[in-house]
Amino acid sequence: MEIVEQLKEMWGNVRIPALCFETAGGRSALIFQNQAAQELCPDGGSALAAMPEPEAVELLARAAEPCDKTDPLFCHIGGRVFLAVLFAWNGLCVCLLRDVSDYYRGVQGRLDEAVMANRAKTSFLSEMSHDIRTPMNAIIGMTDIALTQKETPARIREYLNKIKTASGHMMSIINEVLDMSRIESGRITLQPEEVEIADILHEILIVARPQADAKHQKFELKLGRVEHERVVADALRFKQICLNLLSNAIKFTPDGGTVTMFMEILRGEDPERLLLNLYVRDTGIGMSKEFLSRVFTPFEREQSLTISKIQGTGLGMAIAKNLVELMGGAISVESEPGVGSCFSITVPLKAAAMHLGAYQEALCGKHILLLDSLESRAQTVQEMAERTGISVDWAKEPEQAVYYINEAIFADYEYFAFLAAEKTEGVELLSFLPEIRRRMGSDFPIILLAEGDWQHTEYMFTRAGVDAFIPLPLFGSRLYAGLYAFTPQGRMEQEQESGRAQRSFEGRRVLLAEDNELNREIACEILQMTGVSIETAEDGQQALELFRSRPPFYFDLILMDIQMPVMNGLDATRRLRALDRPDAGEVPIVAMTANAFVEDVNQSLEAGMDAHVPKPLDMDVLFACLERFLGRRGV
Amino acid sequence: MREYQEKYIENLLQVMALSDFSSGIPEDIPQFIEERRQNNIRIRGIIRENTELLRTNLMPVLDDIASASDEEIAELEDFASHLLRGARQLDLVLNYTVRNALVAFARRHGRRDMLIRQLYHTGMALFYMQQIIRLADKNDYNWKMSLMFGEAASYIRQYDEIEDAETRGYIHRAMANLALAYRWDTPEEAERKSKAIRRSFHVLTDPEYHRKTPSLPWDTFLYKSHQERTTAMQMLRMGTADARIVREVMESAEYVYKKQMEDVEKKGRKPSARWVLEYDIALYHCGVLTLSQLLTSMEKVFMDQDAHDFSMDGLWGNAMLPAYYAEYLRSDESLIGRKKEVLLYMYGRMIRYVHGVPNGTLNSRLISHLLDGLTTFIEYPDGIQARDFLINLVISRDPDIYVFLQLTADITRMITQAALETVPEQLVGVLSCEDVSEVRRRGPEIAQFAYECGMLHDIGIFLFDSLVTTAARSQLEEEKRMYGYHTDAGRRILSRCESTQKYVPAALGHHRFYDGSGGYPEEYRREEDPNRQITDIVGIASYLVGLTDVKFGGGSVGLTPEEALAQVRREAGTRLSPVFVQLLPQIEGELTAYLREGVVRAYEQAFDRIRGEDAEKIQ
Repeated sequence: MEIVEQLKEMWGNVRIPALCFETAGGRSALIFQNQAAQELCPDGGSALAAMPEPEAVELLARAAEPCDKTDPLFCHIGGRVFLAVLFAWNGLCVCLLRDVSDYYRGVQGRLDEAVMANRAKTSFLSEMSHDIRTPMNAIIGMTDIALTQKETPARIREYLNKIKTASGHMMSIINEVLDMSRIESGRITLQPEEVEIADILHEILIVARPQADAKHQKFELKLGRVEHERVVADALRFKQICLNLLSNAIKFTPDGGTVTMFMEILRGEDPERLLLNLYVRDTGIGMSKEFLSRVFTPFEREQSLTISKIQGTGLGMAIAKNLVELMGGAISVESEPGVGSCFSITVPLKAAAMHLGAYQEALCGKHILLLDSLESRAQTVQEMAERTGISVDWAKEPEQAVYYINEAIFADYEYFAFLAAEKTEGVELLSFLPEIRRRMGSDFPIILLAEGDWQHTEYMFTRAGVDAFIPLPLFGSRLYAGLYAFTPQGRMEQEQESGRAQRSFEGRRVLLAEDNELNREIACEILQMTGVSIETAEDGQQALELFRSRPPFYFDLILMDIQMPVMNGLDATRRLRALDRPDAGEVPIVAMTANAFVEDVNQSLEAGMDAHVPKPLDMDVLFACLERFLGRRGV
Repeated sequence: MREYQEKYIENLLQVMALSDFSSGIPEDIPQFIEERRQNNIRIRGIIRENTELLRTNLMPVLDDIASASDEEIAELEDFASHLLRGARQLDLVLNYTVRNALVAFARRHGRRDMLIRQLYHTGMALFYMQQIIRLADKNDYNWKMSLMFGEAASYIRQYDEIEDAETRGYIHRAMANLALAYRWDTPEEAERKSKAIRRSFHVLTDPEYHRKTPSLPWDTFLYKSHQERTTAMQMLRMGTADARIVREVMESAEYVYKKQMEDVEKKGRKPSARWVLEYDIALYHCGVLTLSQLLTSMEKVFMDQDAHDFSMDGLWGNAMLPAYYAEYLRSDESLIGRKKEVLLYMYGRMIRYVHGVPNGTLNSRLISHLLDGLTTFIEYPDGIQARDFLINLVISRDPDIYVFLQLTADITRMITQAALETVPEQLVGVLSCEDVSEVRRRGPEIAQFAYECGMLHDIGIFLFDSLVTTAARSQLEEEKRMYGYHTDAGRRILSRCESTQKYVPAALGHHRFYDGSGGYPEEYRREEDPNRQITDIVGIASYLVGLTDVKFGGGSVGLTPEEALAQVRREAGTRLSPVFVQLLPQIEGELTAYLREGVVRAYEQAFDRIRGEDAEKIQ
């Protein structure tokens, strides 16, 4: 009997829709469907044609090859839902479609409710967080100001520092909730820009190192091959990913443990395409296998006694994963309870052009003397230096360095600078460098390749004759900039720069539009330190009127809050830009908002604003802003 | 010199005389000890006076050297030159301190000629300081010495602008001395040393320089440079010299030899033992002399040496030559046995010679030779053992150190015995004992081992002896640091011979705190010391004796035994092991009695050993 006949006999009159597939070479083809299946398709085609295409494709795929997928395959046909049950028979694959419409609708309903509830929860948390941020801005800002007051008694200063720490922690929790909310609603967008990897890494270390130090942990930074240093990336988000991984590692590693961060940037076949590999490994408490599958799920936290005492929202890893994926990368984790965890990320990056022209012109042909007992690092310095035409004499020990210095006299050539690695073995640099300074004279550049944060040792090394510090791990950009600063061109640029920095903003006028009284007060306090004259408005309308009431070019800068009653900052900006007066299009308008998201920034730019400073106001950021807009026209 | 400077020097010479042992063997030991005690009291007074002289008169000038008057500077230069005159070191580190200040003054006021001169002298002070710490395998002063000579030599580029012939001479000397910073034992260093010497030769033989400064002693410069180049003979011995170096060394050895012979002819002076022998060694490496002929020549030179000649040449012939002899013996195993009696005779005479060297005479050179002697020391099964050779050297150089070691050794044994009786479980692991029963069974062996550890734990000190015994003022930071290297020196000495290697951890670790919170050196890791319990006990005994003993001169007067024991108890758990400190009460009576009477016995043993050497030639 032919196989189709057999099928008809077996399944033909059964009331359950049945399909049979012939499979070969990883593909499958429908060879039989019974009456009940035919009836599912009103125009007489196959039941496969009646279901949505992805479901049909999945069904054919599962029929073609046995797979270990355990999730049920539901097929939606004509307002009904069927569960596909597949099994092998005589070298064929038989599929029965069982009507589970009632069950499915019941489950779907509950799922929808759960999703709704989850959204409501996230939305609630997001709104609440948003509302908490405004008073938090005031707390943080006023605390900062109070700390700048010289007459603050020591005990009060201690309390203020505690407030600062606690409020900073609270802000980070709020920001995480907000971030997750933005991610879930798909409102987060990346803002790629050209950045130096060295800068990003430096900023990451500034935050992470003290955290590890506070727990007496050993923090190791391992740098692999960095084949290109200038990249196109969203620096802010990249830092956020790294800091989430690092904070997590530090948090879950006991005192005295080790946290290691590794990074490398490799060039692909296309020199424009780079691949960043990074991992953060710790010797912490690790995670159970069960929890590993949920580690990237929002609000998930391991339920162990040890961990329950550790604070956190359970959002850090979820945010990291989403951001990595948004960048087109991937994140993975390996962990063993009691041994530690290792989070790895791979992110594709675009290479940005490195601007070495000025460095090469100024540094080519120079000789430098390097003292470093670590051969691998010395080789890196040599390779980097050679790219700009600098030749390096490497001394492994102080005797050798002195030998080179002595030989230079007889060979009649001069060193341009002396570089010393901070932890060179076999020498006390604090004794050695002053002698080098005396020997080489006061104008000779002595540069220290410094480990970590040199704030604690800066004073000692500066007194020992060190002129500048270049942070380790070493990046070419830092090395070139560090050396360039001592060339005639570099010195000239520095002088110009420092002249600008010292410039006061006295005589300049700033219009400040801010509805919240506390925030207004904070902004005024900070701005007054720069010597500018401030006029304030409590909403966009008032700001617009104040601007109108003053003669053209009266204001040099407008700082505008976005969310204000009567007229918001965006509308006020649009109207101000539309005014018929010569300065309407020129006066710089800087947005102030607590929401430092890309879309907010984009909206403010579209409205005619020039830049954005995040709230709570950071003194350095605000000064940089003033420098940018008030400094550029000269005093 | 100023009055205080003259007084300081006078005091210094007095301290040297008071702490000198070279005058002979005392007959009445208790009387000798009483004299020592009185001397120490006087030394202590002098130290106080000298320290005050410096604190009141010198230090304020050095602190504000830039404002010093020309007169003050001239006096300081004179003072410094008295503190270190050639190789005679009255106060090396103070000389260095003053020279450093003079360099700063010269820089500050742009006195170029003075700067060149002072850079040279500072370089020389650093050279001698480096010679001392070299014994502990340390190189702390090498780079700075090189920097000083290098800077002085760099003025060769301004040669024509410098009118003063003496200053030009300092430039040439500094240039030649650049070679002192390097040794011949690694190819890299040898290359640098050769380069420095060749460059110096190039300038010294350039007729243009001779024409420019005819008054300079060019022949002497050249002669000294040839002498320095002859030291590359070490590379010939090691078989690491390339053809160019071999040729240069041969030339230099011949040059020096010929000059010596010319002097013999002209001045009727006896030729220098060292340079005659260096020439013979060169001839041996050329294949002109056989090993047997060379050894015979060495024996002859040694026998011709005046055993009371404490000049540089005499020092070499008496203290260094046995090291050379042993080294060449080692190149033919069959000769070691045949020349046994000769070598043992040399060792014996060397020890007696060392005993006779007066304080302050070529100290760094002497100890450098002694270390070389230890390096090549040949230990015969029935001859003098490395341990005894070391102890004899210690006694001959400074019986005080021997007394200290003897007391420490005996107390170490007492505490170990108490531990064997009371807490044997705490000694499991010592000498690889696996359990308490093995500890009990090998008790006598463990106690003897502990005794030997105590006896040799501070053996490195005698190499740094001059820093303490002849010090006529409070210690300077630099000296404290140098002195701290005595543990490394001990390690280095004891590592040389297989028979003494097992005592290395005690030598290295006895100053390191039990809880790791302090002491030195940091390289000592208690947990890695297989016999750490014994090192702990040595640490206790050494500390205890140090508190009570009139230790190594230096004017120190110790605590009573009871006070010292109380102090030891206070340090239990931090500096000292609480496990073994707690045993002290049970042997307190025995200990205090020993601390009171043991000193006399120890001095008697010391001088007996010296007498014994006289009688039995060696032991």
